[in-house]
Amino acid sequence: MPDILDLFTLIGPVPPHAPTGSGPQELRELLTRYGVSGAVTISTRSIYYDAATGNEEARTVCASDGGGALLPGAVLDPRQPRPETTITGSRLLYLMPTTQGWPTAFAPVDLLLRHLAAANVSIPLWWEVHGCGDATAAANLLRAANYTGAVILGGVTGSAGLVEAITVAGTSDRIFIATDSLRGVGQVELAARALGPQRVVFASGAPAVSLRSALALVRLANLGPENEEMVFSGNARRILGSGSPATATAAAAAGVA
Amino acid sequence: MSNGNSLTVIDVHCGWGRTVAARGWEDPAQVRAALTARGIRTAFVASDLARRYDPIAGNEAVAAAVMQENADVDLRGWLVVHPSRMHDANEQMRRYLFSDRFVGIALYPDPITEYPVTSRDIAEVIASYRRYSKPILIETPSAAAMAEAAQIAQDYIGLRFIATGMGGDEWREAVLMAAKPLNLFLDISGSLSTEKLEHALTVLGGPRKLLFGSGAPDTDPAAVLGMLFDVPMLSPEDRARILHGNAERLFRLIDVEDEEEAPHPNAGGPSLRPLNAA
Repeated sequence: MPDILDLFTLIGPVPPHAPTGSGPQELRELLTRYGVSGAVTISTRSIYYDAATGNEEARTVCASDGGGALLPGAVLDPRQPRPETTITGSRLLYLMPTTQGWPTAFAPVDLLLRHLAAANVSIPLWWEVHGCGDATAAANLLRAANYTGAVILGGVTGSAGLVEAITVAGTSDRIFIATDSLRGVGQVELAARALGPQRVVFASGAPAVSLRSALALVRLANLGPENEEMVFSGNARRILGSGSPATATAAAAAGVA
Repeated sequence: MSNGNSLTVIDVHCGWGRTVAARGWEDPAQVRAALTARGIRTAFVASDLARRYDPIAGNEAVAAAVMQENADVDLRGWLVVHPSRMHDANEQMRRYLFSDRFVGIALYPDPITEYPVTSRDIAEVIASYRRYSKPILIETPSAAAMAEAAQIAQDYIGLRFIATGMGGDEWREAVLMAAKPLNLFLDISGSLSTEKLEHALTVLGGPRKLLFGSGAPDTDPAAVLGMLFDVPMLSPEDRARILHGNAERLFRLIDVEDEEEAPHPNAGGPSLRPLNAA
């Protein structure tokens, strides 16, 4: 059984619906059921309501996870002042413009990235690139800010989105493509073939999206056992290992203590 | 994900036409190989070319692909019809719809404006189409599109309609709208949320109106199968109904006397040859 690490999972309800089946216990059970050994998780509270308290919730849940399978992620919400102060202890930072309804080309994002870069924060960054142009805009902002951490393009949708994501990822070996929205026939395989399997990382969006579906798409990608393990976990472990968790010191250095 | 040879799966809606990632999705051999790898033995395909640009050439390409029967994977066609091109549509309906290689007509939102299919738009289509006694597929990528499809189904109660896409991300509202018309069926393509199927089973009172459809190659059938098998409240029998049983009844792929349930409103029409006949 290959080691599997999921770089995008959620705890908490998607409003306005009740939080049934969306707690940390349910997530752990779901991961165990499908042999997923670990997952980075963010709180839907941080996406839909308040990043600061939601990120704290994710950290608390992960800290209380005795098995260590859950790793805390943090949502950076540039619509709020000083979003970089909410990331202490997080292993992966998330920018979610489509879900949260702000444009990728957004001055507060530019400022945020410059602050992080100036503070030598190099935590891996997940950037949701759902629409055409999003990946390009994200890459331009990251380049301008000289952000040195790994970047994962998530939410890549459709043929045009995939072509753009591959093009953008081709400009730097620090840019990866997540499998979470690569749902078309041959899309995971194409990304792996175009960039190399070392640049594709497994992510599901579970439990909002079927974890079983997400796993099936990678398994059908004709990767071969070694490359499949790379996509399922090797690349993610390398990415997460390259950036140490966000510290209060880094946040202070960004001038936002 | 392959379900092996233990299950029959009928995918009621696949596209036909290459994509960036699925370059061979207009080669019958390659499409059959891909479907076989996913455990699918029957699929109904609609031309992407017909849908987006040239209905004549697109439908002809599908006809060429499906006219030859194949024991491994049975490909049959949806005839894509554009209400604004009724002359062409009538001609192609006469040419293809008397054959069991075409299972019905497919209607899609406007390729440029994305305006959904409405009852007013398709009145002339229905007038020409009734004689063929086959289902009608309508793409419903949003709740608004599903609302229109539900209205269509209520306006044409003697016909059978299949809404493909299940409202996309607006599946909650879309399923509620689709509940009332008895002659409106839904394929489970669209969102890959497991909660979607749980919601649908609850609102619709069971799996009777649900069909397996993927929308391949835009969505890999394996992903839709994964979602279906992820639903804990489905019994194996109900899952089989979604995977193939409901489609077999709806498309008359089994003899009418084999049906266990009350006949459909259109029952009594000609039955097609059995699915598994040599």
